[in-house]
Parts: sequence; structure tokens; C-alpha cells
Amino acid sequence: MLQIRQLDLRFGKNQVLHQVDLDVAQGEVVALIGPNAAGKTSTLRTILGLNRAAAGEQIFEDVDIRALPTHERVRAGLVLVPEGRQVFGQSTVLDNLMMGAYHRADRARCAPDLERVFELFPRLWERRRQKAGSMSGGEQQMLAIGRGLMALPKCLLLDEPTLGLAPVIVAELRKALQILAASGLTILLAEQNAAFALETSQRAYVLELGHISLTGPSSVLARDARVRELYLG
Amino acid sequence: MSQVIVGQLLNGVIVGTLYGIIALGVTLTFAITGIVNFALGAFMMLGAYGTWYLAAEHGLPYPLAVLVATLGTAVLGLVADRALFRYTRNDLINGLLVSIGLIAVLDNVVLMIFTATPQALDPPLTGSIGFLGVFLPKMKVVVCLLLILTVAGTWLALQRTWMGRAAFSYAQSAEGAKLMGVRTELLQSGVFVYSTALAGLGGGFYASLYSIDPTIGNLYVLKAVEAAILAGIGSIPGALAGGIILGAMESIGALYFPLSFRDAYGLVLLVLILLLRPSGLFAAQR
Repeated sequence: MLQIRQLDLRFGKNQVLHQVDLDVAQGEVVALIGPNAAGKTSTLRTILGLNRAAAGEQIFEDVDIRALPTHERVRAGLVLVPEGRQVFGQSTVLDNLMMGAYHRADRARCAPDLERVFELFPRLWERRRQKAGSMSGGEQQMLAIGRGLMALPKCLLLDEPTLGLAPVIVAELRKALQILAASGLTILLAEQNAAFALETSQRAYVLELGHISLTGPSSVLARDARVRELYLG
Repeated sequence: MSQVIVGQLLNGVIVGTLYGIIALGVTLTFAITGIVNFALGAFMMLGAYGTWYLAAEHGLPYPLAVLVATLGTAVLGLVADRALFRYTRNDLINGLLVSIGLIAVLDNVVLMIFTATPQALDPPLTGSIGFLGVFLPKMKVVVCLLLILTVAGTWLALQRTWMGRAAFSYAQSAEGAKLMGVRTELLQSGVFVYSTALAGLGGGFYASLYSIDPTIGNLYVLKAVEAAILAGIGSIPGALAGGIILGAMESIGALYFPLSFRDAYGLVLLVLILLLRPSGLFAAQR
């Protein structure tokens, strides 16, 4: 579904990504793990067109998306739930979720999708009239994911969804992601929390200093000596 | 004596709505493009000259002249945005420099074409209305009401439409909005141009009330920025209310204190309000 080939990204003289190859197949959950500043966020932002790649192919559903601006990639079905959530703090939870449907032609009729989000995260229903900025970090993360789902993604990209969250909330997110995966949603998950990412995904890539250093089934990587030592402690 | 006070107050309110319409442009432009566009005063002056030129020199009916002048100002706003201001997004200093440069250019072009001689329109509407024991020119009352309607319409449109939703979202998290598929560049240009159109409209109305010269906009934009800060940047009803408070304060101040310091009375109020409510009267306090 999503194919990234030989992706190079530079910020000025600084090369951030080196020939990154990445594939996500329809219905698959793929993890991108690695330490801080390895280039995970940069990879996802490049896929959404927020960073302009220096070289490489970016193909989504057999379409070359290299030249497309962000809003057209969103319309094509690539939806990123960004690091730091970026919810609209002064707006209500409901307005945040509605904003997720912004790019859709049928955005006036998104009530059934709202219900599905509330089913997945009942807490958002309880807080629907509350301002997003007044909620806890975990709730804001749920809101950010819910807002992303309202955009009806074909491929959902999640950037560090568990960052800074309590273990109880992380467990809740894991359950939600499993439900989404079971429903057939394609997910690309970038995580520093390798244990979480490997448990939730089928396949994983290890990104180090802008290079893909290792790739394989998540269950295999979870037993890999190097991965265990470096990322699973 | 009380009639004098009421009269001054109402006059201040009317002038205040003119501050308010420009303040609305200031506040929208700042919230969405991240710059303070001081050139909105020059766009107001263009709207005033356009209206005067079309109505007095070419005999167009006044309402049509205002409409055409407003649209013309918006077109110039679009040119300014494409040629200059799109390079100053979220860059306060560069935006300031470019807008001040543009003021110099626009003021002097108008000065060159129409000279510094003040120009005046024949009043499109004569007569006066009695209100609370004072008489106000009909034209002033009509202008005041139309400006209030314009602000209310803008506010409603932003509350009720998806475009407004996108604008509010963008003001809170530019990246969040972009990731939801908002065409941010289009939104920024649209808001910039709409703000120049508001200024042009204000100028068109101004020309029906007062005589005009190429520098009229410069003081008005300062007042508008004052009004927007006083109200709290980003608040739409606040921009109007801020303008009205400022106008009323100046009028009342001018009644009791020397008239020559009229422009200072608003500033005193601004300082007092910011001391008590640092984010402005109508903004959410942090």
C-alpha cells in the first residue's frame, strides 16, 4: 500500500535520513522503532509532505505522491496523528473530532463515524463538551487518534502515541490499536517504546541515525539480542 | 451638559466602529498569518479614495462606489499578499518592515495622483436622527450600523462554517490543521485579503463622513491595533468592542481634558486595561 524507496532527507547540510526503505501492506501494522533523534518523526513527516525529501520514491496505492502537498495526501488517505498530539486546545472535544472530517466531501454526514470513535474511546464521549486543552495527556492522545480516525484514513500513521503516558493509559491505547488493527486498518506506528510497538505490530523496522539497521517480523525482533539489549532493556 | 456628554459618547461610539472594522482585520491577520499588518491603514485610505473618486469624479451612486472600491482594495490586497506578504508569514519583524514600506509606497502614490489637498464627498444621506435627546447625522448612524452588521456577519460566518472551523483550528495549532487537510496557504491568503477588504470598506464609509487626504489611514491603524490589543488579540466581537471603547474613551477624555491630547486618552486606557488583564479584555486569561 505504502512504499518508500531510498528516501533521503536533508535539513540544510544535515542529512537526517539515508536511503530509507519502508513498506506497509494493506491491513498490516508496522512499527518503526529506534532511539530519540533517529529520524522516526522525520520519516512520518516526509510521508505526509511536511518535509520535502531530497531524493527517493514515495508511492501510496500505486500513485507517486512525491509532488503532492499535505492536504492532497490527507485526501488520498494518509493521516498522521502527530507527536505532541496537536489537538485544538481551546475547542471542545466534539469540535476537534469534527475537524478530523474536514477534508471529506461527506463531512456534513459524519455522525456514524463519530459514534464509532466514541465506542472506541468512551471517555471522549463523557468529555465531548469539554475543552481539549483541559484534558489529561492520555485523553488528548485518544482525542488525537479519534480525530485522525474521523479523517477516514486508509493508512494511519501514529507518532509516539505513548510518550509520557501512564502505564494504565498505554494499556488502554494498546487495546484500542488492537481493535483498529482487527478491523483491517493499516497502521504505521513510530515508537521509542519498543516493547509497546513490537507487541502491537506484525512487522518492524529499526531506525538508527537515519538508517534502517534491522527489519523483520516483530516477534523475531523482540527476541533479537541486539534489539533486546538496546531497546527492550 | 448631560446632552453634550451623551452626544460626545455616541460620536465616540461611531468613530469606534470604524476603529473596530480595521481592528477586526488586524486581529484576523495576526491570528492566521502571524504578522501585524500596519498597512491596513493604507488600504483603508485606498478604499476612501476609491469611493471618493468613483462617486465624486465619475458620478457613481455612493453605495455602488463603496462596493467597487472595497473590491478594488481587496484586489490590491491580493497583489500585496502574493508579491510581498506571503514571504513574511509568522515573521513579525519582516511583516512589520514590509507593511511599513508598503504604507510609504501607497501613501505617496496617492499623494502623487490626487495631491495633498483634502477631498470631500457630498453627503450621500442628509438630515439627522434624534436619539437620547441629541441629534446625530443620519449618515453616521447608518455607517455605524452597517459596520456592526459586517462584524457580526464575519463572526457568524466563522462560527457556523467549515471555513471558520478551519480558521479557528489553524489559529490554535497550525500543524494540527494542516494534518487534517486544511489548505493553509489558501486560508492565510484568504484571511489577509478579507482583512484588506474590511479596511477598504471602512475607508469607503469614512469618506462619506469626513474629508480625506493620503495620510488618514496611518492614525486609524494605530487606533485599530490599540483596539485589538485592548480587546485581546484573536477575539472577533472583542475587536469591535475594543474599537468602541477606545472611541468613546477618546471622546469623553477630549471633553474634560485638553483636546490636543485626544489620541493619548485611549493609550492611558490601554495601559490601565493591560495592567489589570494582561491578555486583553475579552481574551481567555492565561
